[in-house]
Parts: sequence; C-alpha cells; structure tokens
Amino acid sequence: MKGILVGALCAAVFACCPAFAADLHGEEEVEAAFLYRFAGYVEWPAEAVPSQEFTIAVLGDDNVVQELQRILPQHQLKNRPAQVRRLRRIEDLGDSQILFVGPQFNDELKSVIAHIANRPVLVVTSSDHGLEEGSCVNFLFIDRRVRFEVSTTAAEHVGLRVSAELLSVAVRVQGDKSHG
Amino acid sequence: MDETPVSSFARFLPAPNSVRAKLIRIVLSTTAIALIVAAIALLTYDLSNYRQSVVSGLSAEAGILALSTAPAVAFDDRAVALRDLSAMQARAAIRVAAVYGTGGKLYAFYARPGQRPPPDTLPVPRTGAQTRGNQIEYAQPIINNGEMLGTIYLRATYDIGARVRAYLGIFTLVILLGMTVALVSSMALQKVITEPLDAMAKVAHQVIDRRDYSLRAGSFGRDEIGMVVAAFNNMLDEVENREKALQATNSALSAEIGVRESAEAALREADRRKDEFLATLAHELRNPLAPIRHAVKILEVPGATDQQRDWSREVIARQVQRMALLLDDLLDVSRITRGRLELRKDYVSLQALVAAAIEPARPLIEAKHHTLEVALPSESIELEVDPLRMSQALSNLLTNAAKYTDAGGTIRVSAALEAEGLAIRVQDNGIGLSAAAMPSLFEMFSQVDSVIDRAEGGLGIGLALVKGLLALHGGTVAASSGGVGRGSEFVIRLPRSTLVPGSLEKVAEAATRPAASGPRGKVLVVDDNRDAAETLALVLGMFGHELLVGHTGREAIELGSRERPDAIILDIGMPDMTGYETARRIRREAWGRKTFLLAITGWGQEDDKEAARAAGFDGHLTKPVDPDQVELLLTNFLNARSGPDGSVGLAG
Repeated sequence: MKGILVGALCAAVFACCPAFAADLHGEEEVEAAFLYRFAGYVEWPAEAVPSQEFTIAVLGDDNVVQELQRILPQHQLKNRPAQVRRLRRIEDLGDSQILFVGPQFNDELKSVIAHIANRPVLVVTSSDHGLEEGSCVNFLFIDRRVRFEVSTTAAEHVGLRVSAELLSVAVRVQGDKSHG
Repeated sequence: MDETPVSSFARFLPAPNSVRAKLIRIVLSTTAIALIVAAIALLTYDLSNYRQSVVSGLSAEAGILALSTAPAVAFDDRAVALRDLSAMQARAAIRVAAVYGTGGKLYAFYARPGQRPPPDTLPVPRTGAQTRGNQIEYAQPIINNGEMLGTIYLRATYDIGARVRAYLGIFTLVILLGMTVALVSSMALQKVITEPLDAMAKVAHQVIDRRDYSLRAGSFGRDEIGMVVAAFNNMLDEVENREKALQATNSALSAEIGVRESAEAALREADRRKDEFLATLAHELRNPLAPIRHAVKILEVPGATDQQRDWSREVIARQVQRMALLLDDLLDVSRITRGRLELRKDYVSLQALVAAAIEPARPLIEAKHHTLEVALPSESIELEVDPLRMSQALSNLLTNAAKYTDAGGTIRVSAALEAEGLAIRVQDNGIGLSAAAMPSLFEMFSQVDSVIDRAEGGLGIGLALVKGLLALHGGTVAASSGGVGRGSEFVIRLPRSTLVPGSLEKVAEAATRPAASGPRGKVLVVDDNRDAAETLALVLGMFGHELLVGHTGREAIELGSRERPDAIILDIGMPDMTGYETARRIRREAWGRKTFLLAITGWGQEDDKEAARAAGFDGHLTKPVDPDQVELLLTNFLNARSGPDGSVGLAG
C-alpha cells in the first residue's frame, strides 16, 4: 500500500515538473515572491509594524527590487499597503520590517546584521553561510530551484515568530525547534 | 416483509388461526410498516441532503487542504504539497486530491490506487462542485494573504445507487432486528391478552368434553377481557344451575315414571285378578245350579221318597245359602271399595258377636267334621261396633278356616283384651299359608288356589272384605302361618275405642240370658212372591217367633192394624203398592210408629237404602234374605226394646 502510494506520488511529481517550471522567470522573481510571502508567516511585535505601510528593504539586488516594485502594489501585507525600499547602505534601513541582503553584500553580512542589532527586522540573505552570519532566512539553490533555510534562534533574538507552516517548507531549520 | 426469521420461530408459535398468532402477526406487521415508513422517510431525506452534505464535506476538506498546502505552493515545495495531499488517504470517499497552479496546470496530486489520475489542466471551474457519473468533482482556490496561489481539486465518490443499496441493507438489518425484538417482546406481552383467552378456551373445551359445568376460568382483572371471562364464568353458573334443575326435573320425571309404571303394573295385576275373578264368579254362580236343578228334578218325580225329597230340599237350601253368601260378600266388597258402606254401630256383647259369627259357618264346620273350640274371656265384654259387619268378618274367617282345613281338623276361636284393645284369634291346623301368598292375602280377588279342592270354591274376596270391614271400625286383621301344611292364624284387632267402658257388668248381666232364649216376638212377612214369603216365615218361625204372612201392601196394613206385630218385613216391589208406600202408611198409623220395619230389595244400592230410610224403614235387606241375619236384627231389636234404656233402632 505504502509502496503504491509512494509510486503514485513520485509519478505525480515528475508529471508536474514541466508545468510548474513554466511559471519561473528567474531567481530574482522567485526571491521577490518569497520575500513578500514570508510576511504572511512571520509575526512582528505590535510596535514594530507602523500603521501606514509595510516596508521591504532590499540591499543590493536591483532585480529583486524591480520585481517587488511590480508585485507589491497589487498586494497588502499585514493589512497594510506594501512598499519596497531600495538601500544603498544599511544605514538607510529605517523602519523596514523585512531586509533582503543581496549577494553583492555577502562579504559585509556580519556588519550589516550587527547594524540591525536587536531591531525586529526579518533579515533574509542569499549566502552559503547566511544563517551562520546571523540572518533569519537564507535562500539556497538546490537543483536549480530556490529553497530557503530558517534560523528560529535568530528570529526570536529580534522578537520575531516564524510560523510552523513556513518551517514545514524550509530546507533546514536552525534553532530550538529544529526538525532538520 | 422477510418471512424467514418468522418461520424459524414457527415451532414456538401457536396454530396459525389462534389469537396468539394473530396478535404476533399484528405486532410484526405494525412494526414492519412503521420501520419501512421510517426507512423511506429517512432515505428520502438523506438522498435530498446527500449532495449538499457531500459538497459541504468536500468544501471542508478542500478548505483544510487549501490552508495546509498554501505554504508548500507559496514557496514551491512540491514534496510538502504531496505530503499534505496524501493526508486525504484517510478520507475514504475522496479518490483523488490535486493542486493546480495559478495557471491551471497540475502541480501535485494524490490518487487512490486504481483511480484515474487528474487531467493536466483544471477540468472544472476554479470553484464549485460538479457531478460526473458516480463521482463528484470539487474545486477551491488556494488563497494566502489575499494572494491566489492555485486551486485545490478533489474527486470523491458520489454513488446514489450504492448509497441506496447500502441504506437498504442497513434498513433490512434494522427491520429484521426490530421485528425480532418485537416478536420476542410481543410473545411476552401478548400473555396479558392470550392468557385469559387461553384459560377460557381451555375451560370451554373441558366443559364440552366432560359435560362438567362446575369448571370456571380464573379471574383476570377488570378490563374488557376480564369482563368477558367474568361473563363466561357467569354463563357457566347459569348453565350449571339449569343443568342441575334439568337433572332434578329428569330424576323427578323418572321417579314419576317409576311410580306410574308400578301403578300401571298394579292396574294390570288388578285387571288380571278381575278377569280371574270374573271367571271364578261365573264358575261359582254356576256351581250351585246343577245340584239345585237335580234336586228340583227329584222333587218333580212323583215316586220320590220322603227321604229323597228331604235331601233335595236340603241341597237346594244349602246351595241357595251359598249363592246368597257369595253375592252378599260381593256387594259388600263393592260398597267398601266405593266407600259406600256405612256402619250401623250398636252395643253388642263379644259373646253374642262370636255366636252370630259361628252360626253361618256351622254347616261347613259340621260337614267337614271339624272340632270348634271357643275360648272367650270370663268377664263380659261389650263392644260398640256394627254387629252385623263384625260378625260377618269373623264368620268369614271361620268359614275360611273350615274351608282350608282338611276334614277332622281343629278350629279355635279365642279372644283376649290387649293393651291396644281387643284381639280375636281364629286358628286352625289346616293347609297353612305360603310366604309368597302373604303380601296379597288381603287384596281383592286373591285366593289361595291350586292347593285346595276347587269344590271348596270361593271368590277370593272374603279376606278383602274382612280387611275392609275392620278398617271401617278402625281395626286391623293380620295373618300368620308356620308355613304350608302347618295351619294358620288370623287375628282381628279392634281398637280400645270400640270397647264400651264401664259396661262390663251390665253386659255381663245381659250375657247371663242365653241368646237363643232371647225375647221372641210377632213378625209379619209381606212379599208378593209367595214362596219367598212362606219360606222366610217358616225359617223365622223355627227361631221361635210368631209368624204372619201377607202378599200385598194393603194386606200388610190390614194385618198390621189387626195383629199389631213387633216387626214387619216388607218386600219393596209389590204390585198394589210399593214397600216404601206401605211403610209410610204404617208409620202414619198409631200402632205402626214403634214397629220394627225391615225392607227387602233386589238391589243393595245406597239410594235404595236412602229411600228405605226416608220411607220409615229401620233396616234394609238384600235378596235373597238371610234368615239368620233377620233373626239377628230381630233379636237385637227385641233385646233393645226390652232393655232398660228403651227403644233403639237397628239397621243392616
């Protein structure tokens, strides 16, 4: 029974692969979509979210900025209008709720994260050692697909709560509630 | 509906037509109907709600799936999406679950083994349900944070036929179970109704079989059935009472039939005796005629000697006497039987009574050379009886004794005062009486026959007459015998009331005068039959009276006024004037007022007697007149007239 079931699932996966691949328009588009979707699975402290707008800050990756600029006007995040803020330097972060650090800043990750300190900002990186540098979510590329890993320790350190649903689709979870 | 479970109980069930079976059928059919109606209602309701409930169930499942697969779709994790979809494995009704991407392309799916996989593109609108054959498809969008991520697709079984079949199976089971429970419970509950009915039916059967109306069914409360049972019992009460009444009537009827049968037998017996009697009577009446005829012939012969003539006269006299006695007895019995005999009671001494009784029997006693012993008490006893009837009774016994004793026997007459009164015994050493003859001895027309010489004759009425006469006096007569050949004893018992108290001395005084030498008187005999008048006068003359003879009424009056007789014996049927008229005229004469008048008629009827009494007669005699009887009456009259207490009328 179980074998038959597994077989059916595998068949379904391979049958579906080409269909979903057609939706992908490159890494930046996927990363942009994931970025704003993360907002639905993370809770910020009430004081950390301003009443006017929900802001995603992007440091470095202009392609992601462009994609977000395309998507965000169509969506609300946390019942607020969403906006993207393009940063040249980390000091421009302001009261953003999500910070994406592009690969161009991977060498400065430590200083960038240090700058944030304890502020309730979901730091998303795209580095081989993102979580080790202190980010909350780190994009990975596996089988040419965008996946991500989550550090609940880092998130909780800045007062954020990551939902179990997000963890369930993460490639790796680092923290007390790690499940592999 | 299904008879199989019922028939498997068949051996526990009563006969198909019994009330119990009917009750069970009613309960079962009612239960079945109720269950079927409920099942139909339930099925209708369920089918009408089926699609809605299936759709809402799918909607719930799809909602859950949309939520659970949203992260996987959102972050493009197909494995997680598959894992979430395969949770539908637990939902048996759901055959296929799939996630389609925003473009309608199949992203991931779960299909049960053997199920057709979903098509590559979403086959249905993005939301809503659609039935296809025996399956239903449902689609629901995956929306996360207001963003539509894809569509959940579910395919589930939607087989109304199978559902109906499943329901029918369940209903069948439920109905069978319900009917089984109803059957078992009704078997227990029906006793409330069937037990009284059973008891009643059982009693009814027993009543019919045994005819025993004392059986009753028990009491069963006060409901309708209890009332029916009570009514049944009441009905049995009524039937039992009627049965008893009927039986009583039947036994009364059979008793009455028995009485009637014995009465009929008695009547037949009486009839038979009467027939025998008539034959005997004819014989007895005819018997004397031959010797009389012979004697008359001898008398008619001129050359007959005096001795022969004397013999002939004796024969005639004896035979006539015999016939007269016979007819007298017959008439008397007839009178007693009809209750027409009246006693003329008078005072008479025992000695006179016995003497008067012996006299008629004496010729027979002497003819057979019997020895007659008379033993009377030394004291004088006076009785108040009908002297004529009592001497007649006693004389009958003496005649019988003489008749039924071989020649040379001994006959003993004795009398004794007893506690109850006077007993007069007549004993003989004759042929005796058999025990078989005893019961009917004193009944009319019975006769001890076959042993005796027919020549002795007799009508068999003598003892009946004795019994009747004694009964009129309040007395009895009884017979006893040592057996055949050992003689017999007859006892007449007169009650104390017939004994005249304090008269012993007087009677004793009177008894000192011999009866034969009593007062003699002048007697006038009047009869148009010269022979009758002459012979009677001759006989009475021999008793010592002075006799006168007349042949008409006129002559009677003439002779009476001239001769002044003490007594006049008048024939009633005389040519010139009747005896009654003659008597009336005599009574009008001064000399005739105290004359003793005796009437002689051919008939002993009561109205004759009445007429005689009315005409002034003192007594009445039936032809042929017995001279001894006349003598007795005369003697009594003369005795009474010469006695201290003046004149006393006597009658016969």
